[in-house]
Amino acid sequence: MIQVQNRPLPVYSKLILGILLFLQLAPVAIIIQTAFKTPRSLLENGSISLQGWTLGNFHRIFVEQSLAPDLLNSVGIALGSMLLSVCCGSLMAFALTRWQGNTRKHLLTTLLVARLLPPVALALPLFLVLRSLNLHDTRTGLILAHTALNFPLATWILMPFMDAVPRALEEAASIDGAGRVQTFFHIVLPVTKTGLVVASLFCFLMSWNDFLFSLILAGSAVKTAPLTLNGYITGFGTEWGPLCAGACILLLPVFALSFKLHQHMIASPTQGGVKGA
Amino acid sequence: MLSPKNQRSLIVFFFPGCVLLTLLIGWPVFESAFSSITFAQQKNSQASLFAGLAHYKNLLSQSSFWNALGLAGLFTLVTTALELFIGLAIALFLYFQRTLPRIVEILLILPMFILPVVSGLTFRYIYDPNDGPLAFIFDALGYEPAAPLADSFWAFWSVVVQDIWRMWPFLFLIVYAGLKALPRSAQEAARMDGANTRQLITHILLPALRPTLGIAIGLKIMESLKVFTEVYVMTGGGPGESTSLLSLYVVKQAFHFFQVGPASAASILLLVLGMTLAWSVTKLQNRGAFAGGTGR
Repeated sequence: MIQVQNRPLPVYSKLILGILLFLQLAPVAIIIQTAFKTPRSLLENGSISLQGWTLGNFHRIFVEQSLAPDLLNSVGIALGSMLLSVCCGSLMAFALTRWQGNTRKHLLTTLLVARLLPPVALALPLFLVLRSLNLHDTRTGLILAHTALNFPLATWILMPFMDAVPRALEEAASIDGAGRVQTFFHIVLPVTKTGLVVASLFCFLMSWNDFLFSLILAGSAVKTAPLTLNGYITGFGTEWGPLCAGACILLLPVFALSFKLHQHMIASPTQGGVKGA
Repeated sequence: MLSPKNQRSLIVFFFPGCVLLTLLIGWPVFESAFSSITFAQQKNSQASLFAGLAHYKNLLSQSSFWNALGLAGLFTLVTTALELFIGLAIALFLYFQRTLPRIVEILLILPMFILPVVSGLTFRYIYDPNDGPLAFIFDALGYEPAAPLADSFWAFWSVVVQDIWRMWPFLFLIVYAGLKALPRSAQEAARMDGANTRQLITHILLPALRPTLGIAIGLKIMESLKVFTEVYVMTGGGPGESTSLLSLYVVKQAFHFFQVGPASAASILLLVLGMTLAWSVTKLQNRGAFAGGTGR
């Protein structure tokens, strides 16, 4: 087995991999290519030529159509929800791994079910509540709505990390006279830094990727960038250049974080069986 | 291990999370459960009228509801089957190769991380009959440019293609991780006994993978139930109702027709369906598999 694995890839394998990579990346390449083209060269579409490359589409979305405020909304809401979820999530994850009461199992199931629920099922319920709180179409409302999804996610991601903190560390701290809360902030949080980073990334991206909640729970006074982007499609024809430019901007954090995301995604299925709940 | 006093001090830690869960999930669900069994309030009267199961009956009598349910079922079935096949095939293919450079693996699964709205818009562009690359290819081959998203048969399958492009990496990742975690000893023994690769796969690897495949299928079904944005952006549920999956149907009822009663009933049904599925997935153990997700 081991020798097989060290041989260089045979030609047919390279071919299959090449085709797969092409299929997966072609749509992304099309978006990027269209973003940097002038409207004229867009009409002679499909051809990948270096002529007609331009930053005009980016100029248009930022200067003429002002995507910037909506992008700021997106970033602010994502950061807000991320902070709220990870703060409460880390407390919850810690408590769940230390708690020995009977309610523990029920709370775990509740969290997991909340984590897997389809957001659409929560959209109308959240709308009704945010309306009666007068938080409809506000940033706070969207932060709260995203937290409904992010908080169970953050707790769930953080639990194995919290579980891995040696109890001896805490006991040592408590012998030295530190209370539970002190121990948590001075001992537990610093050792779970990796987990906090991973949870933050996932929460940020979940919020950044959201379209449904922005569509339903906001959209006139407060708009997020994905919503604005979809607004570029009109009944009178769509200008794909600016739209693709906006898509490129939205994809930047995704590309930037993909390395870290992949790392966690390949680690988590194997990690969970041993630790986790 | 810990004294009861120590246990009690944990309540402080539970508090913020429980407030969030109550405020953001408990209350909303209660609120919509309430409006699913009452008639909408009139302007001047305080009292809500008890509606019993009228909204549910109303919902179940609509053909568009059954259409939405059927489409969601078909969508789930087709995408899960195809993506599982593709994900499994590629995972097995890569398993027998030299380990890939990490960047190649990341590029392969990249679509999974892409924003649903961008992925939907990308495919809308690809299928666009005027400017899209697909129309260009058709044109170059001498055919009439097609407009698949405007066709009530092809729209659904165009949405399926989009989902396959985006989500097979999800199944691939789970299966691949499962494969790599399998002990090597049984495989080496089978090799010694002269088993070829095909026999190794059907007799050793696939049976050992069964629990992993169960989790993968369960999670994928949950993901299919979540699909909204991509379809909304690509077709808006149309043409007609040909791509109006359950999620789109609920949103349309609530926010286009302002039918809060029936829409609440539909939300509750969706919640119950989701919770039942989620609960059965949790029974499949291996909770670590839920830590990730696609950032939807």
